[in-house]
This record gives sequence, structure tokens and C-alpha cells, in this order.
Amino acid sequence: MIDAYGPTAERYARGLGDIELVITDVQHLGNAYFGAVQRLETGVPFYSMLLVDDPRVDFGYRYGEQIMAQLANGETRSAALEQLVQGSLPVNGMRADAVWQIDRALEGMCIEFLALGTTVLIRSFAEVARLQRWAVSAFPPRPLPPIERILATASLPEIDRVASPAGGVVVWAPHRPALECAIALHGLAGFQGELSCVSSGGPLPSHSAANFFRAGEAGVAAVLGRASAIVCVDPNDPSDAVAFARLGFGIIAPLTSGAHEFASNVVAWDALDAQLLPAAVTAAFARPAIVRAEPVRPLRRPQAPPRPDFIDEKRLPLVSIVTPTYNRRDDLRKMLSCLAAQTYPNIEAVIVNDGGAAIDDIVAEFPFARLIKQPANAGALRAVERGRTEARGEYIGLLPDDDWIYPDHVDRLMNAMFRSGTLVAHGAGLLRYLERGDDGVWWTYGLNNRTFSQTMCPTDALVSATLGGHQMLVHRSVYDTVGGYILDSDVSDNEIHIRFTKLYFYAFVDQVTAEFRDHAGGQNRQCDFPAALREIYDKVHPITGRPVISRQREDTIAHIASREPGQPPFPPTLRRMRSPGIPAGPAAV
Amino acid sequence: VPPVERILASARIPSVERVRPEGPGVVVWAPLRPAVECALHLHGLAEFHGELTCVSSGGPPPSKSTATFLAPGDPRVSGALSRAAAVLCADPSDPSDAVAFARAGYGVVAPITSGAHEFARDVVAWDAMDARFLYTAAAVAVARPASVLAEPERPPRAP
Repeated sequence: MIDAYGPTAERYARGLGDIELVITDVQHLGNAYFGAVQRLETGVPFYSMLLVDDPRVDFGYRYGEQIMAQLANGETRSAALEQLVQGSLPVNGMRADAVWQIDRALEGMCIEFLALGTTVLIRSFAEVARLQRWAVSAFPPRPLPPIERILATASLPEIDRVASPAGGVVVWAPHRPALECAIALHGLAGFQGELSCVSSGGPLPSHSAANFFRAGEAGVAAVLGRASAIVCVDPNDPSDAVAFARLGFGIIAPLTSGAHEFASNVVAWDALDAQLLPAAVTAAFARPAIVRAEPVRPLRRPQAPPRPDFIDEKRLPLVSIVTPTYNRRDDLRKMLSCLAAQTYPNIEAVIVNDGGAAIDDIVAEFPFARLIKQPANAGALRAVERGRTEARGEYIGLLPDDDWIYPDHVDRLMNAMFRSGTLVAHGAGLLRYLERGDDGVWWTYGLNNRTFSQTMCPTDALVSATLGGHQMLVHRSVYDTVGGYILDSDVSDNEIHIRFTKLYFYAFVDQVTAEFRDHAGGQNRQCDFPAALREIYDKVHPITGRPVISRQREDTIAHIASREPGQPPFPPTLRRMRSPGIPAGPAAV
Repeated sequence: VPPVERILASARIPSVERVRPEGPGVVVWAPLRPAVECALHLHGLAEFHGELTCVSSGGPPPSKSTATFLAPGDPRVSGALSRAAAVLCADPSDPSDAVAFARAGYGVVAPITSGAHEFARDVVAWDAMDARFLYTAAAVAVARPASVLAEPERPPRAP
């Protein structure tokens, strides 16, 4: 099933067939992000896809006619377009190349959204450089998620090709207003043959002698039938160009569309460089394009890495998940349901009741769960340590009673450790921010797939750890060697990574497999983190002779101390207001 | 631009039988480059805890590296590759070795400029100059085996 957010995404999705996908226009990114998180909870792997125009070409298309309409003759228009190609055209006192940069916050959000899917679908590899720039410039930088290409089904009319001695050219932009073809038509102003432009309609560009058609209009098929070459205007989607190549037309397509990746002999063109178009058309007349092999279609749903061959499926090691709990019956039941949904088959849950009301009935509902009772409330860390020492599994994970893991969490982390030989593995963690509404129902007002979606090296751990206990699985020998959590510290889950990373390399499953649920009653809102960190920095793990780390430690304490009391330790990267209506949902395609 | 087609060369990687690793292992693969040209890679992995091997064409090793340096024909290369979960391919232009490692199911880190990600799924693409990112890339690659879904189309014998 496809969930499509935004009109372009809906149209594009119709050409993709049956596939598990969340696809969005960049303008609808926020809603798509929330929708993708809902999908994560189901445990069904899905693709993510973001339709964002190349910002440089998009700028040129939007404003090309406006720029040229102000200029008196062909030479001055050509000179302006030359400056546009170079990025030096003055626009409201700025260079054009400064105007068309999209903002950094949006870039980071794009990567956060895309990383929610198991695999990112792209229209062509030409998009990869842009994605890579976003991923690396995000803070923290993160690896590019797994990517695959997908080619949509084109929507060309039935074309009956006929011989045309004059040689016709069609500027093909069925999903764009005619004005956005202004640059291409300016480049072809001196063309002597039959020149046509197929667009979605609207006012026509000035100074063009082309015949204009609306997409779907009678006459389009005939014009295409007489054409020798097609100038495909879309700067991002190669599907129409490839469909024309299949029919043996000469094709000129923007380099940014990646059409040349699918079809040989495509004349790749900088979509803003009008001056190059006459030569491109001449070349395309003599060079029909060919699709020699159809591109491989992605599977219906992305696949997680398989279990390595050397693992005996019948003798998978036991994994113990330890949960401290105190008077949260409903949360505990939900948490145990998360464990019941795990696809890894050999799990025990060790529930430590930290002196709270009886929960025997809830634990009894889950045959894989075992209950341990603390005689009195002694705090979560002591409960964790009690559960850990009583765990029987070869591998141990933690899961607070109000947090969640997704169905593939244990499976993916175990596979990572089997495969790599590491004794510690972790996934990415999604922060979900909850508020209780007037009706008493929790609702999600914010998300963050950035802060807890990174790994750490020993030097990182000396400063701060953004890796929560329930994102990880640890071989029990690691605890035997290094020891467990220090008690009576608000940052013991940070501290343990200083000891772990000194000896162990972590395998990082770069997929969201765990969720932190932040709300006003949560313990992490009440802690005195600066004091706790100071204790760790100065007394437990002091460092000397590393001035950069010392300064980063001071900066970290100052940063945390500047937070408003009672607010989340890490802010949401995406927020939404609660509206009386239901938030805009996707179109199921 | 004249008509273009891609061609993938035959790789030069040894055939090894992979075993279940007892600890994390990463191989920096640069068989055609002198060892000193792996300095950035090894700097990026300076804090890696595990078996770190660098296969290069030889010469003086970079300073401050605890990696084991081997020449391509050294019999110990096969052992290192059989135990490794991930291979960091240093070549910034030629994806053929990275694709061969993907075919064998290794986690693969390859410079984005090599285009290895165009042939193989799940390659961890990396800016070859960005050493600070390599530790994370290796942590991801050991958990993310690459694969080649369909072998790339070979161009005809003559255009």
C-alpha cells in the first residue's frame, strides 16, 4: 500500500504499482513524518520517498519567464540566462545561487523522514549527491540510508510515428505550467522546424512561436508522431524520457533527471542552459535513444538483512529483556505486548516490580515473562541491576515500562551481532513527545529521529551519550567484564558507555527500532543533569591532557543548564499543534 | 556529453570462505594504492576496537596506526577477509572491488564518488575525505550486508 502526501506525490504514486511506501511532497513533509511513524509501529518494512525538486533548476523554471519578460531583446535575455546558469544573476540584491539554497533545518528534516523507512526510493542516482549532502550536513551527520531506484510508469498517449522531413521537436512538460518552459523555448527560438510545447496549461511564455498544447488535448499524439526529438523538461523524474527512449525518439533530458542512467544515447542537458539546446537538438535528431535493459524493479517491500548462514535457526540464543516497573499497569501491558510482537523467537521478559502494586495478573498473561518482586521501592536502577543478575539470557536488553520497541528490534540487533562478532549492538531511537489532552487521551505533539539516531566512539562517550538503554542489546560477558550501572546517578545510562566503549565496538543498525516516550511526568524531566554530569566528569571519569574534550564537557554542562526546567531534555525536531479536526492523513494509492 | 555507458571491471578480490567472526573485523581495501594513502581511513578508525587490517600495495605505513598492514598476495589477507564483517573500499573512482565484496555479502563502505551504490544495495556511501564519519560508517556496515540484486548490463562488444 502507498500512503501519498501532497498532489505531486499522489500523481507520482499512481505510476509505481503495488508497493509498501510512504511518499510525500516536500511541502507535506510534516504529515508524512507522522504517518511514517505510525507505519513503524506495525513492524511492516516500508520504503520512504521524498519528491523534492532540484532547487537550482526549480528556481530557474519558476522565474525564467519573469526574468526574460523584463528584458528587451534576445541578446540581453541570453546574457541573463547565462548569469543564471553560473548562479551569478542578481536577484533582489543577492546572487541567485544564494537564493535557491534550501534551509538547513529542512534538509535535516528530510533525512530524518527518509531514515524512518527501511530503504529510501529515489527516482535516479542523480539524486544521491543531494541526499548525501543533506545527510552529512545534518547534525549529527548520519550515513545515507539504503537507497534503491524506482521508475514510475509514464503516461504517454498512444503514438503512431510517421516520417517528417522537416523534423519536429516537442518540449514535453505535461505536469508543469507553460510558463515553466520559457527557458527551453527561448533556447529553441531560432529552430526552423515544427516546434510544439505540451504543458499543463496556463499563460504562455512571451517571445515564443511554438504551438502550445495542454496535456491530454487532441492533437498531442499527432504532434508527437511527427517529432524526431523530445525535450523533456522535468528536472527530477526520468520516467517519461525513458518511455520516449523506448519508442526510439531522440531525447534531450536534464542531467538532474538521471534519464541517461536508464537509456543510452540520451542527450543530457543542464536544464537552465538555453544556449546549449540547439546543439542538443541537432545531436538528438541523429541519435535515437535506446533502453537496452529495463531497470530492476524494487521488491514489493524492503527486506531486512537475512540471518547469516552460519547461524543455526533452531539454536538461537536466549535474549532477556529486563524491565523495572512501578505502578504503571497499563504501560506495562503495552510494553509486554511489544515484546510479544517480536519476530525473534527466543525471548524472556524479566519484570522487576519495584515495590509497587501487584502486577501478577498482567505478567501471567505473557508466558515468556517472569516476575521478580523487590520488597520495597528502591529506584529503577536497583531494579534493573536485580533483573540483570537474575536474567538467564546470553544477551541482555533493558526496556523501561513506558517505552516501546518495534517488532524487529531484537531480531535485527541479534543479526547484527551474529554477523559482526560484536558484543554490543544498537538501533536508532525515535523520541516521541506526548501530552494528555483535555479528554484525558495522550496525543503526540512532537517527534525527533535525530538525537538518538547515532552511534558513538570512545571519545564521544567521554562527553555525552545519546544512546538509551533500550536501544541496545549487550552480551552478558560485557557486564561481567565492565560491571553494571552505577547506582544513585541520574546519568548512569550515559556513564556506562564510557566504560563500554573503552573496550567494545558497537554495531549500529541504522533503523528506528526503539521509541522513547517523553511526557511531563517522565523521570528525565525531573533530573538535575548538570550536577549529575559534573559528578561523572570530575570524580568518576576525570580526564587530563585533552583540552578539546574538557572544553566540550564544560559546553555540554552549560548547554544543559540553560534549558528551561521541566522541559524535555532533548527538544522535538518536528512539532504539530493539536487541531480540533483530524490531522491531514495520506491518500492511499 | 557524448553517449555514455557504464562498464564494471572484473574485481581483484580473493575468494575466501567466511566464518562466524569471534570479534569485529574491518578490512581497509586499497590493493593498488600505497599504504600511506590510507592515512585518512585509518585515522577515522583509530578508536575501532577489533581486528583492523589494511591491504595496500605496500610502502611505509601511516603513522599512529595499530592496523595490520598486508600486501595483496599475503596469505594472511584471506584469513582477515574470512573473519571481517565489513570492508572499507578506498578507491574513489572504481566500484568494481566494492561490488565484488557486496556480491560476497560483506558490509561495504565505499566513497560516494566511486558509484558503488549504483550497482549494489546497502553500500554505506561515504565522502572519501570525511574521516570523522568513518567510525559511524563502519559501525553501520558491520550490521548492513550489501548485496547485488541484479548484475549490471554489460555494454555490447562494440557500440
